[in-house]
Amino acid sequence: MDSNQTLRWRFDISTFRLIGRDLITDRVTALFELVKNCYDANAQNVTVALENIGAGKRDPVIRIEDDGYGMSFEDIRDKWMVIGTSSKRSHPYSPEPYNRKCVGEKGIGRFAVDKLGDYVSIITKKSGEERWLKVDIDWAAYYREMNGETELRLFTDMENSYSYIDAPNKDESGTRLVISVIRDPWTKKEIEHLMREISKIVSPFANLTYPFKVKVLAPEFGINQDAVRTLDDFDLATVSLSIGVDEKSNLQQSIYYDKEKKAFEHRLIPLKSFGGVKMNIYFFDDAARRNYRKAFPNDSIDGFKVYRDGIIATPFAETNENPDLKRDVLGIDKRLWRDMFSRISTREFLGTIEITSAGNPKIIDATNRQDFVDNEEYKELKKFIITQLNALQDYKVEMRLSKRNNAEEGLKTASDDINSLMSAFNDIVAQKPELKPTVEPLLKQVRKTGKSVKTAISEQKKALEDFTRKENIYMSIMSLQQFAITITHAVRTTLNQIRDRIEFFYRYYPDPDEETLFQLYAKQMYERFKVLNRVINYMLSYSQSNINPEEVDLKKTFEEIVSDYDDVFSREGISLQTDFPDKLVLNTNRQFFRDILQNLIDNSVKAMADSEQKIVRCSYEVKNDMLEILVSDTGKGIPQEDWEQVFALYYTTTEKQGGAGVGLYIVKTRVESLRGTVSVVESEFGEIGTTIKITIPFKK
Amino acid sequence: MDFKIVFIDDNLSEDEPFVQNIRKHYKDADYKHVFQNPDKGLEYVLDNLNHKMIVFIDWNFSGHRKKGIDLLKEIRKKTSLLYIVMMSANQLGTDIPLDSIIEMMNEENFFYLDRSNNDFNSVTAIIDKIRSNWSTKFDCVLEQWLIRHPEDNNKEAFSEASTGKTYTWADILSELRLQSAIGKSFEQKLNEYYIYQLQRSKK
Repeated sequence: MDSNQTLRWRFDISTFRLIGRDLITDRVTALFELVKNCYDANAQNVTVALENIGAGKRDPVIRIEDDGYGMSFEDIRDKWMVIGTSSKRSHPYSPEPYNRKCVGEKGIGRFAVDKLGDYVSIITKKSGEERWLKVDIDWAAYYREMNGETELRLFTDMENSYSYIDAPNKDESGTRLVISVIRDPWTKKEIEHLMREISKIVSPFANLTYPFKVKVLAPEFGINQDAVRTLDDFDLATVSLSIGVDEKSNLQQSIYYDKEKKAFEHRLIPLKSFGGVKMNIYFFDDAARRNYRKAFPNDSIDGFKVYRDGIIATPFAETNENPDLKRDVLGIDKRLWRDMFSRISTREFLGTIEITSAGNPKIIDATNRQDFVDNEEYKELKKFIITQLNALQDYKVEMRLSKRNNAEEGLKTASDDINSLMSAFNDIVAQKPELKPTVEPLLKQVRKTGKSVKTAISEQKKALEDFTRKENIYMSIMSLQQFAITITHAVRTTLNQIRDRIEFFYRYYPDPDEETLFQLYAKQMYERFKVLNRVINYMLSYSQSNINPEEVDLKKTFEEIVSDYDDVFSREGISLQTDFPDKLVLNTNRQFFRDILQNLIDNSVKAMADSEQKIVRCSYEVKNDMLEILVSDTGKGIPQEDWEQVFALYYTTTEKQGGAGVGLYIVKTRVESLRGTVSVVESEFGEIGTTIKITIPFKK
Repeated sequence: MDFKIVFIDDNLSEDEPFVQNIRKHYKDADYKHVFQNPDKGLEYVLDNLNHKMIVFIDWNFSGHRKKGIDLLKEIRKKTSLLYIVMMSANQLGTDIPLDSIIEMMNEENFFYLDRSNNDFNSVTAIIDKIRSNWSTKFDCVLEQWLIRHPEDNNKEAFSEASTGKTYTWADILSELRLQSAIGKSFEQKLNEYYIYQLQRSKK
């Protein structure tokens, strides 16, 4: 026994598989890792040559050559061939003056070679050295050892030979990897995919003093080109947005679409927990998408790339050719089902999100290089990104509307043109009656066309009305569904309470010992029935509600609606403040007011679930010919950058409390039906809570 | 009292028929432990792990972040012996996420009670099943023994070889219920001893 009483770790020969072939998901990723190492070695020019790698070819070879700083014998012996070492860990930036943020952080990218072929030569030289150093590694020998019946061999016992080659040019430096005995043939598609991934290493917006160019050669497929992406790629976009950070004042820009100005506007908000981010978004409408596909047949429009310090962070070297199977790391398409009318999907835009190591330390790379560590900060970043996309969504809605208006306008103009054409013909005939027989058939034709145009106009109007009607029905069904859930829940709870009490009677009655309980339960059952009655009255009021305008006493109506919440308020510990001035009778739609208030109050209740002090304040006031309604709560509030978007369908901040994002949309549509406006304003309670302001025009 | 029944449910009080039915039906149950606050309920349970106990937990606590499963997990950190009955008034599939359902199904000593569709018969079915399980469980057998033979409570049952620490039968009962290392190893050794003895007696 060892007198020191210590034990040492050793590595079995198979270790190299664990850190090489088995760790790296696919060949494209493996090759991509090697190209990234070139970047970290300060290379400006890299050549990736794939020779004879197609099916049926002999002696396939992959060469990766860079003009980086190269390695000395000591570098190879003491760093490159020591597992886990990564100078990149202690020196996250490459040597001066390049100062590149290193892309490979784990120090095992070198084992990616094993994924590509059985045999590799590393030929490398630092500037000033007389000879190139050549190290040969035969992975196949490792496998033979691994599978052999020989005694235990350790990874660290394997020997790899090296030799020297004279260098004609002393000043040259760089590293060449020559990988041979390639296991499986490559396809053109894979190589194109590799080029696409390489082109994404560097952000097209990063202004790099020392560029990084990668040339890919695959003669048998006719490939000989630089894998780069430039700003020209985005020229075809319909609209572009950029979102920045004001570094001096430490404020983050957040974008929204101003419907009145018909323009994108920025708002400055305090930096979020994830730090400042810069974004560029290029939106492609149908026509632009078609043009893009023509111009870049091998590249798809696929949403965001996140770059850290100018270098791709995620999504990382995806091998899925099919865009549908690509990882949707930011969760943009997961929300697709949410708004069927005007969703923005990753197929409609290209974008970059720029973060930095210094500015966004809480956004942490996940070890598998896909996505980031799922912490609170990253969740907030994702939410912020969606918020920015919502501006595009508003823009899209606006564009669709203006297109529709254009079509309408066009039809009207056509109709006017036909009318003037007809009167011109009539004038001619009046002046020269002899032309009448000639003109008459033409006139007939024009009249017919005029009729068709008029029919088209009325058809279009009908279609539009039809659409609005359908949208309304859809809304009603959705609010009805929500309503049904609420009601059935209330009914079920109450019925269960009654059943339990009846069951007790049934089991134990009569029993003089239990007299007090029997009395208590009888009383409680009586009360529960009253609750049931109220619920049913409420349902009846809903089903019988009149959609036609009627005389509505606002004070009475508002009081009626808030009193429906007595139970909820007392259960949740919410106090209600109201200010309903007397004597205001409007000829309007009572049900719309009910929908508006109910949805706002429901939201307030959900938003206050975690609040210490719970207050709902509801008031209205007449200002000139406007009715101004304010509904406020002391809930968790709505971040300012979301103020425009909360009214979008399926947008919710109260998901945990069961919010589905339907309520405020219903509010908006109802207010709009009353020709009013609704918006989020500064909270009446100051720093906490939310205030929603509604203004509705009316005639006294 | 023979065993404790603990209720952790924000909508329950001692007056409720659910609790009163148990009082009427199980004369030997200590039923007066109703907690509306999940944290308080959990604290009580964890402080009384050395008792024979059934815990009814509601899935949903309005106004609280905690769900029933969070309490279940807290309790399971300490012991897997304790019987837990999860209750919900809503539909299983809609109210409780599927992954939570799977997690609960994989628990030991766990029951589910549908408060909307099940009546008191289902409650007695669950409690009776638990009680019949108890009758064969070592900790419960030991408890019954000590009730019948109170003089054995302070007698030495076991002494730990490495530390020389001695445990009385009452100590052992408590260690068993707490699922401590001592409790678990004692139970295993005892089972081995039975088998050994039975084999010997046959020869």
